[in-house]
Amino acid sequence: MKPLYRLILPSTNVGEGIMSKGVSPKVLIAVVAIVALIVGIVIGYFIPRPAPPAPPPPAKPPAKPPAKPAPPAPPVKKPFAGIKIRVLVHSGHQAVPWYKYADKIKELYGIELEVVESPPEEIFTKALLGIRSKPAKYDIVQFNTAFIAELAPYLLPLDDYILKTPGEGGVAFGDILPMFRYGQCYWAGKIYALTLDGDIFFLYYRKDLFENPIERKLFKEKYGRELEPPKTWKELLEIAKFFTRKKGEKLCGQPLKRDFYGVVFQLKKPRIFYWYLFIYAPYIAAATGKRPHYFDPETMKPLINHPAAVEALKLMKELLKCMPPGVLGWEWDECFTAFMKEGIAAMTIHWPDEGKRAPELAPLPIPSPPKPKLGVAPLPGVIGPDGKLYRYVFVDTAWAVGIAKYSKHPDAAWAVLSFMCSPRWDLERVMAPTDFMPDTGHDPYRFSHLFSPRFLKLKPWFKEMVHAYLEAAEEAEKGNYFTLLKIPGAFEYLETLATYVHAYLAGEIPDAKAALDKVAAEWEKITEKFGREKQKEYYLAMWKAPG
Amino acid sequence: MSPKTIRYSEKLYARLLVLPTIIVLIAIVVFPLIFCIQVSLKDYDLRMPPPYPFVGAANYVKLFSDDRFIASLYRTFLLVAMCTTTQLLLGLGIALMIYYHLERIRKYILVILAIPPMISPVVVGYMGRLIFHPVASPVNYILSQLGLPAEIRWHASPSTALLTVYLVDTWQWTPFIMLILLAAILAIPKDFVDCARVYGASFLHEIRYVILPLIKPAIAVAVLFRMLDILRMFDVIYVLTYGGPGTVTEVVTFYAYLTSFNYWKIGYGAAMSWILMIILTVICMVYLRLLRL
Repeated sequence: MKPLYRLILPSTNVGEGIMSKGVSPKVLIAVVAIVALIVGIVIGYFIPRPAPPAPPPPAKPPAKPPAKPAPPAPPVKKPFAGIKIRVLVHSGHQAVPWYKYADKIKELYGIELEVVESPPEEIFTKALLGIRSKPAKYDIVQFNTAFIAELAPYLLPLDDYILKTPGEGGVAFGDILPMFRYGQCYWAGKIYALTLDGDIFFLYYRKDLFENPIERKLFKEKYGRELEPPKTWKELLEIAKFFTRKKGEKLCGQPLKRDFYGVVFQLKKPRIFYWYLFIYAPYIAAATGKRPHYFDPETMKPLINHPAAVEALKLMKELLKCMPPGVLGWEWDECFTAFMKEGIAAMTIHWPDEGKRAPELAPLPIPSPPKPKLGVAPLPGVIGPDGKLYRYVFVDTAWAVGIAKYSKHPDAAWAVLSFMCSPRWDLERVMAPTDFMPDTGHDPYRFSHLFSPRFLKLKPWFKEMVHAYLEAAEEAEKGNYFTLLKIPGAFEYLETLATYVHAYLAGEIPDAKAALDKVAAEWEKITEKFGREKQKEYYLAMWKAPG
Repeated sequence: MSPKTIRYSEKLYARLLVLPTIIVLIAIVVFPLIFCIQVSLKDYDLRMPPPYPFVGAANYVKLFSDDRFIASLYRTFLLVAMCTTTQLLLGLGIALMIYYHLERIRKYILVILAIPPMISPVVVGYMGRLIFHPVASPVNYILSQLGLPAEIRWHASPSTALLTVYLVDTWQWTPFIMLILLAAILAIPKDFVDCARVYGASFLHEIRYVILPLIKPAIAVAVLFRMLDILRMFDVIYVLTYGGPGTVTEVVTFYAYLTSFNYWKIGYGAAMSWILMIILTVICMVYLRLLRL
């Protein structure tokens, strides 16, 4: 039988020549296989790919906005048929609506939506690298607006779309509550993002406890004033101390079945900075008589070790005595569980989740508890030397969504974005979980959400929150809001703050001033690294009013 | 063909067949390592626009004046020393106990003890959070029932947080050492032990002069594995303490993670990882040389 190599290399001089030099048939086969593999790879790499179908020319927005912007009619034709839009989103429940609406988007616009999920801790890196490349790897990216400074150079300003597209492309930008409009969507006076998740903080208190006549009487006897939701941090501390009681002591005239605490915060290291900043903002504002700042806007010198900031940190340590032991290790779930599921605290400060889930409030840990009732109020403030109450709405940077500047199909990306962020469809997202939409984790952020009859019929207890939202909106419109830092290195600034605040509260650093001096020193280093003047520019851009 | 030609041809054939594997290995192992070295020599900060300037050894030099890095290095070695010693002693003790006294139920015990090392460290971290919960800790409950101080805040207190990490790691990995050592003990020929007994060796002599010398290589391997694992510990700390309270449980890998993926200083983080890798390599070499393995 002929050996295999003879079939490939019949007895030619060449073949014999090779054999005569001592190369076996096995070697030949291996060489052929490897050469074939390499050739295959090379051809596969260089072979021209079929070009994607050319997109139809995007509809040009009219030069002048129409006098009477008509509501956007559903497109009859599919203007972007065959175009694929790739979107980078927060993995898990936040990705749900993108999948849910993908078919609808295809039906309306002919756009195929490719959803790429990323865990929240990786989303910034992926988004930045993805939109920095040309053309951008992602057309649309979801991001935390704390990173807007780094992302903005590669994001498309949306002002033109909103100003020139009939009916603002359906996004009804003015319907977005002011704290989110100013705190999340704008950067350096331009719109770079649309809010996806209306994250804001509220003070929650147990109305059933605050309305109890026995407790009200006892409180009045002790402090000489009515028991009301606290307006200042000092009042909050007093109320927290008043309600902190041991098991067996009386609450509402009945013996407690377990220890009860005045207040509970989420103080595990990674996000402790929020709770410190809630106190810091009004303290620093009251001390300087201006709106609260992280840095002196003139010099970019940190204000974080200002005497008022030290006072705020000391107050936080005092409050710690009125919280459950071990609260320094608590994340979102422990805080929520202690307040809502176990009912062992009188007050908390948290995102809107408690308000959305008010019926889950557990009864007080006493033998015959009153019907659980949740109250919601704005964050406390500080009375300044001028007698004025300095009180601020704290807007979380939270999740927003923008379009890559180098996207190959910006108009198609806008079509997707304006669909996702239109009042008609985003209401479904923030109402979730419903029969139509599984849980998305998105909180309301529009006036139309707050007044939606459907929403309020579905979640009637949310009426309690509406008032708080409107109050926050009113304050934000006046400029009385404070947002998380949004300059390059924001996370490093905040993480440094978290580390030393945590170290002080845990007793690792005994002195509040020393802890905050360390923060200030680290902040200076970060500022120097990025360049003081550049950072100042960004810092001013962060607060810049629209227009 | 001469025998020499055949040998040459076979060798060439073998090398050619291995070549694709080598190419793949270079692509997935060597290339990232070289890239990592390259990144560590640059001021590679994702928050800055590219290009990233070459800074030579500046990132490495800076590390040795970074108090937080030095402290995390110290904590890492402290954990290595505490965990490895305890786990070795406990693992050996349990293995000997099973060998001498629990022979009949050995297979049942092994099944149970094999569970902890099989659990994902993230899950172990969450279990640790529940078991050592500052308020509702079952451990505190047991301590209180025994009349011992039960007001321990575990991972929420700076004085006990590192201890909590140590306890969680010991719970998970002691059975692993035990399994390796038990396998080695069971592999010792029965005759050796019998012979020692015939010559009147006491129980302690039997362990000291027969069992321990024969399982020395297994001990060395088990300790080496654990040392390397602890030096790279990340998941449990991420879930259990996030490096806190303050920075008391911040180990090198966690600090490198924060630097690279929270502060986006990729170059500095890469330098940190290389320092850790050099330390790991030196430890391995010294350790293996000392044990003459």
